[in-house]
Amino acid sequence: MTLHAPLFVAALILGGGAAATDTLLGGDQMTAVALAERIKAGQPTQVFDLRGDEEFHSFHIPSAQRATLGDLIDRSLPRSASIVLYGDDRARVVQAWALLRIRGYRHVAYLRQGLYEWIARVHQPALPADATPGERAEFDRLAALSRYFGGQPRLDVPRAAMPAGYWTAGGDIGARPSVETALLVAAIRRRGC
Amino acid sequence: MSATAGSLAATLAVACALGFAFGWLLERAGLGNARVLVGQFYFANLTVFKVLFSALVTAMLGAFWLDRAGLLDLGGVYVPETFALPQAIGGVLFGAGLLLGGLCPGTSCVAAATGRADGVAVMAGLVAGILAFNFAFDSLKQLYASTPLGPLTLPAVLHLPPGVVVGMVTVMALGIFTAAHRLRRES
Repeated sequence: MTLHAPLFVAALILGGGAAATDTLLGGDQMTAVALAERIKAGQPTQVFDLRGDEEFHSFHIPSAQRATLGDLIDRSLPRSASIVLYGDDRARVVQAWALLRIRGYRHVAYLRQGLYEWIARVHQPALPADATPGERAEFDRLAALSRYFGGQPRLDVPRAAMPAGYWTAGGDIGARPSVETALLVAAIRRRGC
Repeated sequence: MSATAGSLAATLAVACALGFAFGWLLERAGLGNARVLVGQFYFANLTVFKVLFSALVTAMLGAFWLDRAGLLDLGGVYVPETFALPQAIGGVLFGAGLLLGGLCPGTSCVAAATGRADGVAVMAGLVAGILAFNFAFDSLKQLYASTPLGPLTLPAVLHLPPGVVVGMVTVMALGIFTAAHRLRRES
């Protein structure tokens, strides 16, 4: 067998880098529920919405500020500030996360599935019609959180219509999560929330 | 052609291209030969381990860093659910079949494509097994759906950040590669 030294070193660097990224830089992702609990508990958190103006004014996470990458560069925040980012373009969100990390901010995270996750889990959590006791208990917790933020929990939702995400088995929300989000926001606005 | 049909055609085209590439790489790695595969069970030939573990580590590192670069959302990648008992039984059956036939499903296709009769025989057994399983599914479905554990991943089971698990698996793979390299040189 030939042991390819360059490949060996490359794998070692990439593997070691992966471990270092998640241990030294801290968690880079936050769940929408964890963010909601932070805000509710009054823990100081700077939330930045990286979507366009129109999308931001249609609906955004309470306390979020609209920002572009340029705004994030110009803005001066304490380096110990807890910052949470979300948007509809994951590459741009990760770019912003990396930018802030490079600038020395130690507590930066982003919502893995952006506003879609906030709407699906916090703004309008859903209870399936054939819910298990565990799902019911989780729903009660999320419904209380939802009402705090003026959301609208949904009861007796058919299992097939339950919003999917990384937190559900299967986890796929389709190839166009931004379209899914836009449809959810449009539905919320039609209800006048 | 509608957008959905076009998307399906593109998906199938990509799947075909990946399938051909996978088969070609298996053949080039020598895994179309039953003797090479069976040699793994007796530690006489570590080609299977080297090829598949290299592929696993490459895919794992690629997926991790593409996710971290925002180019791939691992949250959208399907993780098959674990059903402990039926999958353990399936694993034993699969291993016994691999040892007896000398080929697994992918490598049997490669062997058949290169004109090996044992490849064709294993593929025939594969198709017969699929048909038998489907005809017997009604009586097997209780076992099939038993001991469900949901989609399990190593980071979730070990309560460790994904990057740490990626690092651990990489170091483990490199350690075993090095040990195999030394054993080979000494023998």
